[in-house]
Amino acid sequence: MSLEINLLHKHKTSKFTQRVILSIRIATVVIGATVLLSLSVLFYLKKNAQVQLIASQQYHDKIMSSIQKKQDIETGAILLNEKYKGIHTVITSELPYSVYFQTLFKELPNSSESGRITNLSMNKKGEATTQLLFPNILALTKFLSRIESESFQKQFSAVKTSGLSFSQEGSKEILFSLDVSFK
Amino acid sequence: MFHLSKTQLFTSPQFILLKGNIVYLIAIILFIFLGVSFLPQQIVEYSTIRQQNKELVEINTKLTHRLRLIDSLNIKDLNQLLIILNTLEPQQEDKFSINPVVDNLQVVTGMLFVKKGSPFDTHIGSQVVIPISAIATLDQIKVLLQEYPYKAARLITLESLAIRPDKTSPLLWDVDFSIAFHSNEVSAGKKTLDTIDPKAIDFARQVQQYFVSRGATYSNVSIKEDDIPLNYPIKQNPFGNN
Repeated sequence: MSLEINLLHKHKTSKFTQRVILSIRIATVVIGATVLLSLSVLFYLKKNAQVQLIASQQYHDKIMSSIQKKQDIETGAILLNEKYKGIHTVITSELPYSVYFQTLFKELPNSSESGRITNLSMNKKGEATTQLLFPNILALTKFLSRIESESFQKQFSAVKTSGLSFSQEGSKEILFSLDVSFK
Repeated sequence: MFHLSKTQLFTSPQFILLKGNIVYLIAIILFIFLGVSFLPQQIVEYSTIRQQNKELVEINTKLTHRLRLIDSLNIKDLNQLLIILNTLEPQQEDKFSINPVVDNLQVVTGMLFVKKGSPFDTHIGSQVVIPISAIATLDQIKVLLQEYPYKAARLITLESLAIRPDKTSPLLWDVDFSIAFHSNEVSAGKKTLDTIDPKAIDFARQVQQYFVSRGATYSNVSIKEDDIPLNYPIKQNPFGNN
């Protein structure tokens, strides 16, 4: 059992002062230990991080040097990519003329009895202008009823007639102009 | 009233207390100073190093991927494929190479070209446009529409097409069409290789196989950008045997 002698017995705040001093001592130890421990840990981590950074830097330099040595291969590959990109853009922006052409020949009459194509032109807007020659009014009527059909109309976004006339004076043959736009 | 003599001051309980705990006071001030100024500075430095390392690791990962990509390439193969694509779409237009290509198109389609424009006459922007009049069967026209984009050894687009029945034969058609020749100057610039488009290689190989099957020959040149042949040699008819 310890015996404490209060030297400040007569002082009004002796007990309080003792407590403050004790708190300061404890706080000193706690703060000191925390700060020193934190600093030690930080120094250790920092050193490790620096070692890693140096290693990464060395690896970076090494790999960059390897890439530099193979610069011509890399340039070639980049050019190949770029060249293909340009070619691909041109090809994909081109209209599917082959499909359009086959659609027209499938949907338009092309025989002497049913009527035949006398002129067909396609442009880059996906539009086609056709001129059809029908042997008589009956063949034309048959074709006109076909234009009205759903199967014909679903092939095109717009269909319009732009001309109708007899091919020659006194002739039964009829020239019929049809303009279509593809979907 | 607060005046104390020197002896009284040194023997005062407060002074004794202060004297006994001065080490703690100095230590706590020092630790607080360390904790407030030095510790945050160390934390910032550590974070900076970590961040730099993280960024460098990310860069290194990309560089490793880049190097692997480069290593995966065969220089000769790449060289050949690049020449093929550069032949299809040259860096700069070479008008003297256009007439042989028009001849190629005639061979590929089997059409009879009765009239063709000069490469020195018509331009749309940087494109050279050649109007052609031909006589062909419907099947030949279909072949033209399927094969024109690159199978004549140049990248071509169709500008217009008009057909009408030929007066001499019910099986033949008079065909008027315009084709545009494309050139495109590309450079590597400061780009780095992130990916190699497999479609680019597949496409170039497909074209190469087609050319080889047609008997076309291409000279081997350096892959370096400056050395890409702008005036690439082309046979009069690369698809023929001559």
